[in-house]
Amino acid sequence: MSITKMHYKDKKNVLGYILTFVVLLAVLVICMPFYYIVVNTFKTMQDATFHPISLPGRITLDNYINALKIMNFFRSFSNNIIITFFTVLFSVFICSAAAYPIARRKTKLNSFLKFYFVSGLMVPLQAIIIPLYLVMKSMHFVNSFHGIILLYIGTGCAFNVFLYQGFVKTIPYDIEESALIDGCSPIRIYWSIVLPLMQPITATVIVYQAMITWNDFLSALLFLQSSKLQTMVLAVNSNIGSFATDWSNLICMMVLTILPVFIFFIFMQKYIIKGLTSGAVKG
Amino acid sequence: MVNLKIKQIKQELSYEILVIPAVVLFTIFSVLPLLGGLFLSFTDWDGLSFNFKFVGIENYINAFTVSDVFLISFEHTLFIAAVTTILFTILAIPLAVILDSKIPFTKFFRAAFFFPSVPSALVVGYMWSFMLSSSSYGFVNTILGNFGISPINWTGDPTLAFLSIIVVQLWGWTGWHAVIYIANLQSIPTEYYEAAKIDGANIIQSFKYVTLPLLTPAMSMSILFSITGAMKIYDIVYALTGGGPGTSTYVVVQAILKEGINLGKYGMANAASIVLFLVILVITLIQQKVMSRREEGMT
Repeated sequence: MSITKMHYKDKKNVLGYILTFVVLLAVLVICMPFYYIVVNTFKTMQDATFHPISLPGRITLDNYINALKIMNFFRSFSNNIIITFFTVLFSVFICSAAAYPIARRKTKLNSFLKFYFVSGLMVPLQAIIIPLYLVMKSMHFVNSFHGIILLYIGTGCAFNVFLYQGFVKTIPYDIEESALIDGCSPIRIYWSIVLPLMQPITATVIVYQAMITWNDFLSALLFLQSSKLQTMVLAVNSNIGSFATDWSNLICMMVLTILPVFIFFIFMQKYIIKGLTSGAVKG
Repeated sequence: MVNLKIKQIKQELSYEILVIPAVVLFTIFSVLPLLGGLFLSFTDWDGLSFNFKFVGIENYINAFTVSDVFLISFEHTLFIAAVTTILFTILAIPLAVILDSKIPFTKFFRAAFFFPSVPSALVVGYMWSFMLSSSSYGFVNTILGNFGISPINWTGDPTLAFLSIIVVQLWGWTGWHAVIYIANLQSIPTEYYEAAKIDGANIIQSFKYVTLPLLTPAMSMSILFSITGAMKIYDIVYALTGGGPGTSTYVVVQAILKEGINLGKYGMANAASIVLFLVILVITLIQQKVMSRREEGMT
């Protein structure tokens, strides 16, 4: 509870009303750009160009029909889905598996591995992008889904392993111990006991890895040059670059790109904010 | 005895199988590029042949003396980092205090302020380039036009271009930082405020002597993310100003990509990358040191 709560009680409703009003104004300012790009997508080109702020006089869907075609929406959308789905899926299994022995078995090797992954937290993708480009080229990973998926998993590893190993420590050891005495193999224990118990942190990993992968521009720009492999962000970028198309189509593409993220946010908001406030997010 | 030891090692190894995929991928895509980049930054490798020799710190000297592209891009990036970090702190704390108070619709308000950080930074940048456009469809200029102000070319002037980048960053990330502060505010016990009130503290005093000191964990986290995030800035600038007008808003990542990948100056680009890595590393280490010292002080 904070200071305004008390004083709000003290001075009855006046302060509360003023604050609500101020925040409401600020929210309007925050929403303005979204209003602007959404409202103009339903206008004719002329209407949008000369009356950008007003509501549409005559609603048209032509812009969306054009935009879907120009950005090859269904292809770029499914490319995004494929890349994000497999990156998240493999990240969850690979990183939770690695975190389990690192957090559980107190050996020299494991404390080294912990240090190895944690130091990766301080290596930003942007600072290794040139050698990464060389690695991708020499392995013939440029212009392939498996290449970029492996890249996303590899560059996300440090953070995901860090999250998982922190969580493993909070899981009580008793169940594993009795399974071990019963002759269960470590892989079996990981798979049928530890992995299901990791569910809360898996939610955080899924949400963040999905957002990072879905929105990525830098790696996608360098490693998905073929137009067949374009993601939605790349499709927006390449069409804006050419600027020949009229702007109503371009803002439609933006709305189409933001919409899936918006829907995701509505449903996953709880996990996004929880992941952030548990102090566990790398920028 | 020996058998027991072997059995033990075998058991540990059966655990370590689980680590292999992550270690392989992490090594190929993070460790190898970092070490490779570090190694190549001391050579005259041209990106083609395997004939290269060590040149010491020549690349580092050249990167900052031959042309001014890296120097100015570091200046611009540090400037953006400093200004946005100060403004995030000034704006996000009051916002967090208000959003943590008992005004109605706080859930909706929090979501609305947070959402701009969710979509791709590139699309946000392009969206704002339409908002700020000096064509007749530009939103900001249309509003200003209603007050009789003639259209301003927001991204055509170096100062205004910086202003635009900073405003867009604030629009995008103030709510995100506020969420960190809100979580911290919720951990402050009510008794502290009651005690301050009994001691006769007014609203400003209890904010200054109770709220602010107890917000330091969130503050150090918010500042760290703000600085390191700004050092890595690329998408927004690429979409909004393209580094222009000219090179007046060029940022580090942009310079690295252009010099390294487009112009093939691998040595200098690798040197600049290592400098970027070191800057981020030093900031992170300082933050961790300060944090751990503060934790020691508290216990």
